[in-house]
Amino acid sequence: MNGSARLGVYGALVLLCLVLFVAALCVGPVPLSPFDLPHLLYARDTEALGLIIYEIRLPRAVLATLVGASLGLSGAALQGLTRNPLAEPGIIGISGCAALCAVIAFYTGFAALNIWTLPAAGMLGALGAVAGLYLLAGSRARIVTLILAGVALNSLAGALTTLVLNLTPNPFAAYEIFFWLMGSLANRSFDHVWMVLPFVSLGGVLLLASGRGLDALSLGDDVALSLGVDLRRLRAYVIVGSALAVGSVVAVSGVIGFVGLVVPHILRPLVHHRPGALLGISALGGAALTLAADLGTRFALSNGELRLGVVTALIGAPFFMHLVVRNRSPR
Amino acid sequence: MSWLPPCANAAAAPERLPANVDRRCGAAGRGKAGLPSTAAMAAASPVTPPRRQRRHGTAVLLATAVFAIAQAAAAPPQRIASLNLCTDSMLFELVDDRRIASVTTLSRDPNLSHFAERAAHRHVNHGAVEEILFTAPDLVIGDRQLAPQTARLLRRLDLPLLQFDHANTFDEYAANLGRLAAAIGAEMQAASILASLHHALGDGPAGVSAAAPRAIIYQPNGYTPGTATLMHDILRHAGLRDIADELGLAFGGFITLEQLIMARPEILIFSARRTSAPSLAEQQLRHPVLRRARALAAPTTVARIPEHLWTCAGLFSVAAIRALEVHAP
Repeated sequence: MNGSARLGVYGALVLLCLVLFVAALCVGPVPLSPFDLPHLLYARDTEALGLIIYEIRLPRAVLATLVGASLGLSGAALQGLTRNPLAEPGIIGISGCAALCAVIAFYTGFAALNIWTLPAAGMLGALGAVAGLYLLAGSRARIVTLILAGVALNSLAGALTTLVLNLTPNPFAAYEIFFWLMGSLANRSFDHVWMVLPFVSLGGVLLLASGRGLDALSLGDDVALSLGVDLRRLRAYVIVGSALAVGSVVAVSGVIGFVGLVVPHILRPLVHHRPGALLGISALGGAALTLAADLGTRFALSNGELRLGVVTALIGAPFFMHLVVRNRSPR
Repeated sequence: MSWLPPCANAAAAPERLPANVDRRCGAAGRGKAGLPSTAAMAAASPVTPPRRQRRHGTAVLLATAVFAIAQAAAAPPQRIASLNLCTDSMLFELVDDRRIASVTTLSRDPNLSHFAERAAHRHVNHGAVEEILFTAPDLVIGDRQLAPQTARLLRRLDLPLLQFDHANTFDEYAANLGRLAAAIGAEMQAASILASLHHALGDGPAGVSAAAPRAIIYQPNGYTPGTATLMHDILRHAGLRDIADELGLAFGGFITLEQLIMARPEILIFSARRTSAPSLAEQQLRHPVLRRARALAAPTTVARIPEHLWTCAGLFSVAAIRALEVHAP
């Protein structure tokens, strides 16, 4: 793939993200024109509408971007590392375990100690999930084994999340199960953005840095070794990077599935199946998909919003089925 | 009257009834709590008079029977079980603890119930009929919304049930309290409570002036109670304009933070809880935009009303009016 074509893909995705970002600021219970945005962002101390844009919709759009980029990037990297097209933080249980630990931290009151406790719990859960996967499936698992281990981890994490919520004394817990299992960005604030920004950045750097190694790995372990790739370091980069980025965002948004699965699959042909080149554009694609899905939640119902995870699942599950059917046919 | 003890029915088909119901019914007829008693019942029963009375003839028998029935009708139920937080509350207002067979478990929640301390020393139920039977009440009270299967089961067991419509105004509360008092012979207490209530409320809200500050009640998850609720009635009595009115919320609904900011309330009212557990629902009430909104051109005052004062209506709800009145002109 030559430089200008690659630049074209990047440019188109950046443009798409920008359009969706602006739409995210304009669409809501109080609709407004994009041309009013600059003035309103400036007038946030004097006008109610400015306050809404700045304190409610802006952090939400930023968070959608960060969440989507983390999931897309992590999905692409995990698929490269495992050479498994179904590896995705949601499917293999990383998101579910991150949510479980975040739930424990939140409802026991630990998360109130300081702003880092909640994302830290999410990251701990994500790392725990990876450890669990290695224990269950081994480091060189076949596709089916990895997915089975993921299903098991996911079910366990989902059940424990529900159990923990049932045990908490707050009267709204039953309702809040939906948030953690299906994800949402409603009513998030800049507090949440600051909470995840450092970890998403650090995780993103680690994941992007694994690009060259993943390219080499796609040619086989031996070739990668002969090209001077340190496989242990590569694995550490992808795992720790995913845990930082995905673990922290799940702690503030709940589990949002399928983004890390759908995005790399759609974009892969554009970079001629090179896992390294897929990373950057998957981050952009993930951001675009999540921004779009989050817009979708606002249109759906007259009373309240759809959960973000519901929208991504509505898009992602049929896609997943398509992958299953394609894998079924003899090669 | 639907709550009258059905001893006559019980006597009509005693064989089919379980022993415990029989016993309970005996207690109802005699107006004594928890007497164990087939023996007691036999002694009191007009149906089985002692043999030696026979010779005085039917007249005496009839007179005894009529007297016993009249007594049964006149003696109010002595042990009352309640299946709803708000009927719990009325019961606590009207009678001594020893007449309370059981109340709902919600009544022990200091956030919801004004009588949590008293409820701590009573039996509690979770709405299950077997819990009610265990405490042997002679009257069960509950909300009109009581699960139909529960009402049906109570009827089958011949437990008198008295249902109340949820009180959404002080007037409805006064009507409910009067009705319950009449049923359990607590008219004096009710009269005194209603006199105090009338004294506190005056002749009702004079009509909220256009100059009155605009207020909104904002609860966890962004829930705002509607105009057909007690909380709205409390706002009216306090002389505040309820934004729920402008938003056309009759029974309440969820108001997003954006809608809340656009409504530009002058008074933002939260329910204060005595205990608090972390929840996303309450996190919404701490969103930074609400802090910033208070600094906007028309500053918003925040008032916090203890939740137990206005979850159910009672004489104690007057305290909520007093707390809000200070914000009215």
